[in-house]
Amino acid sequence: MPLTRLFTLTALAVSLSAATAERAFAQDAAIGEDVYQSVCKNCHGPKAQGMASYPKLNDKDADYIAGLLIRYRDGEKIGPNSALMIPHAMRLSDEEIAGLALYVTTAFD
Amino acid sequence: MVNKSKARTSAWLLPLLMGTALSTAPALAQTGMNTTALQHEVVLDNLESPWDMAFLDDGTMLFTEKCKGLSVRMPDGTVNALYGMGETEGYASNGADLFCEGQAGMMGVAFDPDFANNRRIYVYSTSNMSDPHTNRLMRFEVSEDFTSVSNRTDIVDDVPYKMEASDHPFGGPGAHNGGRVRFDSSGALWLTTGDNHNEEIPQSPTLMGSKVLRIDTDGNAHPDNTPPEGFDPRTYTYGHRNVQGIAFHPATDTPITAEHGPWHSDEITVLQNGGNAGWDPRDNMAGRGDCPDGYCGYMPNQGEGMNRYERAAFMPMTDFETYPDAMPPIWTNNGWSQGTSSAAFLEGEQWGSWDGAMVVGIMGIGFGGTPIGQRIDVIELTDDLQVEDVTEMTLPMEPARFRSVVLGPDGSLYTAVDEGMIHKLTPGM
Repeated sequence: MPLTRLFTLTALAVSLSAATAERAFAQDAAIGEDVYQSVCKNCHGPKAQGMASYPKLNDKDADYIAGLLIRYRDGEKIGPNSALMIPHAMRLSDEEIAGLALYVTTAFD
Repeated sequence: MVNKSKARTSAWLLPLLMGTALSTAPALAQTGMNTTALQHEVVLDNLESPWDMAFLDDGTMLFTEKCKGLSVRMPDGTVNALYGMGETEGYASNGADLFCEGQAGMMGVAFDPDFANNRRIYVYSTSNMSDPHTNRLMRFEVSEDFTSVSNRTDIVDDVPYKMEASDHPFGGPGAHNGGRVRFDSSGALWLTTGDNHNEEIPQSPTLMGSKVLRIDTDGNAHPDNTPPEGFDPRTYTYGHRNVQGIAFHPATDTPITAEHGPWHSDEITVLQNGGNAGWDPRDNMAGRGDCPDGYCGYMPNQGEGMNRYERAAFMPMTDFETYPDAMPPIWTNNGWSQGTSSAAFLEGEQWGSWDGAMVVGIMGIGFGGTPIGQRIDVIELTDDLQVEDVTEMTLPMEPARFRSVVLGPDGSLYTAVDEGMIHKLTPGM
């Protein structure tokens, strides 16, 4: 997504009513849950707790998770598990990345 | 329920939250069937990457957690934390030198066959006591009340550890340590090791990675080992990649390994004393040119999916062209690499037609179009130890990363999964 569009949508987002934002939040977390529990949990664990040499995610910030996924989606090598992460990230839409970032950082307290 | 307070969402992330499109990647699963019903019980939960278990006849169970340490679960369910890694709190004592990194940490564990008299146990872990660091097989004595261990003796202190990251998948420090510790029925102690992403280790006569060691309980070579001339006499077999499974045929005591493949071809191999498993990932040999950091283990295309048979032709798991006498695998997981980890034999009439069959735990990887494949396979062998049939066990619980499979003294199959549980699977109703 071009940065100019990001800024435009940001402006739209901040104008949302509280109720609309609440619904959007739940919707996006649900998108994240679907993706996470069908793919990501196989390495990062059902509660994003990390397993074996796959890192823990549930202690990270949402923007950190989303940022990494975007970089992986762009094909950037980041750390020893890039070969696994890049192909998965390349299949993710913006909405799924946002949903994943929300889900793994909020669902397992 | 989502807790919004923890979602620190930057302004740039908000636009991403506005979307509604969903194109979830499909879950990949294998299917299979069998006719044996299994009951299921969670023995322990909320563990951190449990790696291995060992049992006494009364059900006392030692277990390791990769980054935490060694504990024991008593028959009444009480858990005593015995020996922690580094500064991990809550353990009766700690090994300040023990640490975890990547795939390395505390791994295999075994009771001495004469535990009732000598109170000895054996634990394999990564240690920073020496530099470069190594993996060590430690011997301890357990107190009468199972609340502490003492008299640590490092009977193997020279299994190589990968110190630096390299340009490979899973290329961080700590890769490929093997890690299973088992006794055979004669009382010999076996340790499996891995290649550290180091191209020289597998065929090295003296570096103790990529080997299966057969030793006594002081760490000395078994007198009947017959490795090639010049090899460390502790070597039973060499030329492995990363062996995390070893089990002994219940009728013949023959050692059989289960091993991770390199983006292709997990293997089960019937070991031959002194044998070469045929893994040699050096570059500029066997038709290969330069490879990243000199290690061809994931080539020719280490970062993307490709046909597994083309991979195998370029970088074979068992290279028969270079090593015609290499030990042939009896199972190659249909050419897939899916994280085949541990192995055990089912024993007892309760297992019906599976009595005497081998089971392997498979953790799942899912790289480059490979089905993830988390499962336990039941592998029935002929009398001459060839594969007769392979059945995916129908599980009474969710599939998971099956790190360890161990037959318990009650005849049930116990399995530790990276998700943090130890399950008990009991046949019949």
